[in-house]
Amino acid sequence: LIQAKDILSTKEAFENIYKSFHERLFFHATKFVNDHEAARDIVQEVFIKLWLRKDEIEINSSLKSYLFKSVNNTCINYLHSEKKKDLFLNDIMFQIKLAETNYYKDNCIEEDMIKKLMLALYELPEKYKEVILLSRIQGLKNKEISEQLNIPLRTVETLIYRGLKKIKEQLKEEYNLQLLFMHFTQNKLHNNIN
Amino acid sequence: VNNQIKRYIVKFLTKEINSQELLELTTWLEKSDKNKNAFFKLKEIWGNLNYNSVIKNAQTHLEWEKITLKLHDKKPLSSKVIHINSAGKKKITERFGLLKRIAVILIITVGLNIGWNTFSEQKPTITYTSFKVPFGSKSFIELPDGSTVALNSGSHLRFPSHFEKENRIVYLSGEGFFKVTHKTQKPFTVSTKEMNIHVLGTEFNVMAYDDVNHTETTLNKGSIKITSPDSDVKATGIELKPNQKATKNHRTGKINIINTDSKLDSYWVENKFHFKSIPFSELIKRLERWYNVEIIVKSEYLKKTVYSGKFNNEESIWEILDAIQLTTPITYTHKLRKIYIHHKTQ
Repeated sequence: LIQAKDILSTKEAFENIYKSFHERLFFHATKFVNDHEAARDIVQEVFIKLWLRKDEIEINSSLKSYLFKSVNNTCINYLHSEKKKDLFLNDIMFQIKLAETNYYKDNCIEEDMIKKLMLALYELPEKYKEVILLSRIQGLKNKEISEQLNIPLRTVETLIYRGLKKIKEQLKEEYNLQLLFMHFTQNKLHNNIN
Repeated sequence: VNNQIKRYIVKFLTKEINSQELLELTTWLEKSDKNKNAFFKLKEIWGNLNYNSVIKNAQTHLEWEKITLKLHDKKPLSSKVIHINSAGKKKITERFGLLKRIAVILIITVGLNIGWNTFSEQKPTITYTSFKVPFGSKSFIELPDGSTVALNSGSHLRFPSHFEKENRIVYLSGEGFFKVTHKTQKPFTVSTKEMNIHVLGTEFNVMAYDDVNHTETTLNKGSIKITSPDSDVKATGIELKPNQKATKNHRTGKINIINTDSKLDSYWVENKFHFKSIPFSELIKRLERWYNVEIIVKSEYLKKTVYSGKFNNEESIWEILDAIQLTTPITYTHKLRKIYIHHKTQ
């Protein structure tokens, strides 16, 4: 068990923690909230709470997983409040997003992992790599890709699917995708955060 | 996984799924944890492929500055409860009523709505108001502390319904002319993507459009301090004197200070349109925002030329194009809201 106040004894310590995790936590939040401004606010709130409540917070795993879990929980709260306003989410999408937060254990993004992922992408056979780059990096619609490459729409979809499967197989060992159910509600941490 | 479901998964990831397909996908997901695992693994890989471009928006350094501003007096968060009462909301509506002539889209968003619980007053809630000014219009806003902002076309200003005890922070994307009420104990900060402007009480113009490759701040009166985390001035900042302009080049991160006539940069507030030695491409961007049209320049030569000029907003886009035509060899054609500019060859 780590007492938050022990690792946050000085403002410099806090700043170091902030700087080493901010981008990754921001990225994690954007996956759920699809909005950069909201994601920045969520991450900021997590850090502010960590600092202001450092005397009360006890971390029973690692600081890293504490931060990712806090962002998860804060995203869930945000999604609930967004749903109340019924602005962006229809019911099914909301359920999928909630299920997704449940399935991330402590999906800590490591820069090393991202490098391996990009490497795996660039090592894909040309036909898969091309559609994935056009779709994900250039933001083209499947139909636009089908027109540009002169292949049927269904083929575009199949190539994307198979390409992702290949990346997944490639990264099986290094890229440890442990998606276990998280019991936030029974977690002492959760009570401290909220 | 059958082929149909594979296609739905891809359509989901590329955001091209329709509601019927989404329903079928969810039904499949609900069938087993194995299905969910398979789906979320692919979704995670798909999401991570975008890592490098997404984190460009993290604004790590600016966010850190905001955190340090907020934690300035280290009071516990619970003592900073901000109550949103009906009066506060009404005020906004009334002010908005005054702006009837100006087309403004008002979007109220709940920004830091963390741990929202209507039954608990322990939890901090800050409500943010976002003003978005459509292309082709301008807007004038009074902030909760009596400071005023004129916002140029296509700008977005976000500010809290009540300022916190120890500081006043607003977030700007676009162009605004600020008149800030003097409050010694409560600095005012305009936060933009590339530059933060710290103020006690003063008048100044900020131009920070996302599609322009530099950010400018021009001081008319008083004194302001500029910080920009990822540039050479860092946290110590540079102080500007009246009639000075700070320009940050986003590509190099360098900030240049020049002496200028500050009135020129805030002419737009009085419906005057003034520009001095700006690239043609930037002039086009300004005209697009100002008149809410799309302008396509069909000449590499024109894109490289530099332009100066002065117009009143009462002039139509055609009058402005005609005026440009007097000094620059251009012809133009148009189709609905699209204007094509060609280089006139002899």
